Amino acid sequence: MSDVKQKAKAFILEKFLQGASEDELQDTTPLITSGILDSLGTVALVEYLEETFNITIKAHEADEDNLGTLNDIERLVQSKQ
Amino acid sequence: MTERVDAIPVAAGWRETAVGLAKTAVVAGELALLVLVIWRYAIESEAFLQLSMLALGGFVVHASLPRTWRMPFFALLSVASVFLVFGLVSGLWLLALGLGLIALSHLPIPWAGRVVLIVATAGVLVLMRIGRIAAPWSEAIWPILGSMFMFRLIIYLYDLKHEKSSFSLVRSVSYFFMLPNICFPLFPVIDYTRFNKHHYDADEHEIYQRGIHWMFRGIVQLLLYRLVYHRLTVDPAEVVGIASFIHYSLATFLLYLRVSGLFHLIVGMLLLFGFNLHETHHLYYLSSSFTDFWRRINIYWKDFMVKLFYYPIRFQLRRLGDVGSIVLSTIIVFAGTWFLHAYQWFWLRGDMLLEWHDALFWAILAGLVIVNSLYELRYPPPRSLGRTAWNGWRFAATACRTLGTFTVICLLWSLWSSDSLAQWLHMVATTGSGGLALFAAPPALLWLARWLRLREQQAVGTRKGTIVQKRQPSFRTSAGTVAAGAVILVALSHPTFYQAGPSNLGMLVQTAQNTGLNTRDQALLDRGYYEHLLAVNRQNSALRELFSRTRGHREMINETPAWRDRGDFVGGELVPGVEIQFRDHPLKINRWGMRDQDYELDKPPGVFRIAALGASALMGWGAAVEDIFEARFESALNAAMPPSAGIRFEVLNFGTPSSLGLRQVVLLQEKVVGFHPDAVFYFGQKQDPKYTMDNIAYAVLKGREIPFAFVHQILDRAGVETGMAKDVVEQRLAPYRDELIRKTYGEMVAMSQTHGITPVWVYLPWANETGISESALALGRYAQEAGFIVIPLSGAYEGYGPHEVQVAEWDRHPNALGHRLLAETLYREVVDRQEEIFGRMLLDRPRNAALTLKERNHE
Repeated sequence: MSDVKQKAKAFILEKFLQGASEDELQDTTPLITSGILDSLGTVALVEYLEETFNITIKAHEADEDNLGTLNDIERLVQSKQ
Repeated sequence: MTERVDAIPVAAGWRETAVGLAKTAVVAGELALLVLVIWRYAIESEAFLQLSMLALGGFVVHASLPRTWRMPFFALLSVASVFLVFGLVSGLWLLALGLGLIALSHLPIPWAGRVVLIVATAGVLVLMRIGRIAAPWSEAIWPILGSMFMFRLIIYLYDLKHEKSSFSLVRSVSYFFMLPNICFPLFPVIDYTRFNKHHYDADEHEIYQRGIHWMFRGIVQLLLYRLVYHRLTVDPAEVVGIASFIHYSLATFLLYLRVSGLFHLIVGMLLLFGFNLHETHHLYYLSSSFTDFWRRINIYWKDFMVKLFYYPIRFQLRRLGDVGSIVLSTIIVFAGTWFLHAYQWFWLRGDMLLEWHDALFWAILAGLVIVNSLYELRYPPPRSLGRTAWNGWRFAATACRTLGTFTVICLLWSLWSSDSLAQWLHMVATTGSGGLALFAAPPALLWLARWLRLREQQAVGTRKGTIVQKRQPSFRTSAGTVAAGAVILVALSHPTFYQAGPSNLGMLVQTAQNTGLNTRDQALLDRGYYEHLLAVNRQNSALRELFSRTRGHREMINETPAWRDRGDFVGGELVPGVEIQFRDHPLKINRWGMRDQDYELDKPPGVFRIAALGASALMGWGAAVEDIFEARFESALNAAMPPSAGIRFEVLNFGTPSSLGLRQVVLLQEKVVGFHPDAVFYFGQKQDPKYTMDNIAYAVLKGREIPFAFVHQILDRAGVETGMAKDVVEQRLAPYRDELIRKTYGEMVAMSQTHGITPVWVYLPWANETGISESALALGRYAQEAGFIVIPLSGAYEGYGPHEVQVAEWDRHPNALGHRLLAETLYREVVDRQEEIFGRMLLDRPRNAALTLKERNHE
């Protein structure tokens, strides 16, 4: 698993899914449509990604296409590095 | 061996194809059943039934086409729906306007330039919508054009700017003219990217079946809405304590089932064409917090606001920190929601609706969501990857949170649904100590929920229990449920079935089939004619939609030169000698202020004179003067008298709009007795008590003298003071309603008898009234007790539907046929009661009253 995915996964598990095991959060688990990330959570994740990977994410990029799954997050971050 | 290996995939392929075809056939069968339900229960409009049949045929063809042809076919089907509902000319206008807006969005100039052009075009359309510039197309186009473009064009431009999706003519036509939209001015705000991205992104039969399931769910919600609307709603004037206030609040919130049902129906239909959209509403009555409520109710609207406002603003304001940026961006989102609702109202109705209590509703909801968001920022709510297992603590905590949230939203909804803040405050004031407990309950419940949550953490820990994966119903289960439900609904809709069941079942089914307005809305609609009361509450979808079909503003009588304000209790009157065109007919007022032929003040010898007193229906609202039942009745009486008898009848029409009950007593004294009538026919209506209270409340508000001692006594007892808001006065008078109308009738009889006039009370039904209602019977009883001769015309329209006998869908005054039927019934009744009325037998029992009248019509 890439560094991006690992860090994003750890952040999500700690911040939003306390008590869930790592195995339960898969690379393709829907994050937005499942309700794990709401608008507050999405902004928190964006801030974390920006700080951790030193990138800038724009408002229109904070959507299901880019943050819908761990795979999408990895693709977004890599496209900006 | 080789042959067998090759044969397996071929056989599997055929089996898959066969299963696929079978599933498509099952979905088509379910859809056919739903079309039957739509027909049997008259769901929405006749146009929607036609559209559903088009969707059924379209679905079968669409599902049989290769995948790449399906989107173009859907676009064609959507265009076909425009012509099906609007016809060729209006359909072409709608398409041309829509394609023009799409074309502007794609002009080969910078994005900002295109936005400027579109805003300028919208400005011209606004001027056309308000009538400053004449529009060459039908008024009917506006609500649908608005519904298709007012929000979706904003999303489309945003997505164009950020290149968030692919664009083509077929996709754009599919998106803006999408199939069910042509029937629904109120339409979910569907996102362009989502619309495209999720097209056939999962197993097609699963998508179709979910669509059918949602359509069925939507229909059930719409039927439940009708039960609530006709059986549970309470008039604010009837709220007199905690129980009726809770009833009122609950019923107004439940009315939202209409919007949720419609949106399920609409999105469900889109899923049938492969657009795998998500739910528009999700168990919103079970929201466990205010943010949860905002996320569950009208999810598409929330997504729209988050995408276009919340994220852009929040990202811009991040330097303010979490608290500052959350507070500011949420305020802007809710202020935007308030404004955009008014903007939506403008395109649907043609005028902006900005009210203070409306703003207050959004402000309070914004405040609650902000507090809740900040709380969640500090104490994030538990989330899970699946459905978490319950324990006693969790269940109790969730129940408290849900009940607390539900109570607050109900109270807030009751505020939003009230006619004014003063009216709502008065309703709250009637609840006494029970009201205090009601308002204290939500914070107590939310505090208890927090305590239970902490106990849960102590007892169970932060682990949320075993993860249980969410399960979707299988294709077979879902299809079975929908088919069984639809068959039951179709069967129940037939009298053979519901009459065989308990008596309540028949009442429930007939209510579920009732597409009309409830009593309160009907009264609002009627008052709209008199008082220009067009500010229909946004929550009132039934009235709002009816108004959206009125094809623009229709002139009120008080906006014409034929009406003048008297500045006293009577309010206004028809202006003598004026002749105008009103509601498609000439309106000529004689020298005495009557819409009638001219009469001498002194009664000629040999004349039996009847003074007809009543409101707009008697005046012939929306009808030609020669069609008015009073004129036909007069002709029939005279036609039945042989010339040798030396007696002639005169029936003087004193019908005055907005004038029922007490106002008529003043008119009787002031105008009528001077004509020395032998009998006075007072044409009472179901609204007599309501109008009497209304007239008193109006006089109190305006500080006008009320010339009746008994009214002053009642006002004192009700605690009414000069200058009080009209709706508050009406609420305070509600307990005295029956007493007021009894005394009003008593005044009329006493005054008539003083002048030697025979008082006759005639019940005049509205054109959409069927049977005899309890309230009409009660009025008849009061009239009889007061000393009137009572004549009911309740069965006059028997055998005819409202659409055949009323002026228009939004106007239940009788049309020419309605007036004829009234005249026939009145004539028959008067002949039967002539000894009481005339004091002797003047008229032969008619060979056939109807025949007499029809012969005259023929002449």
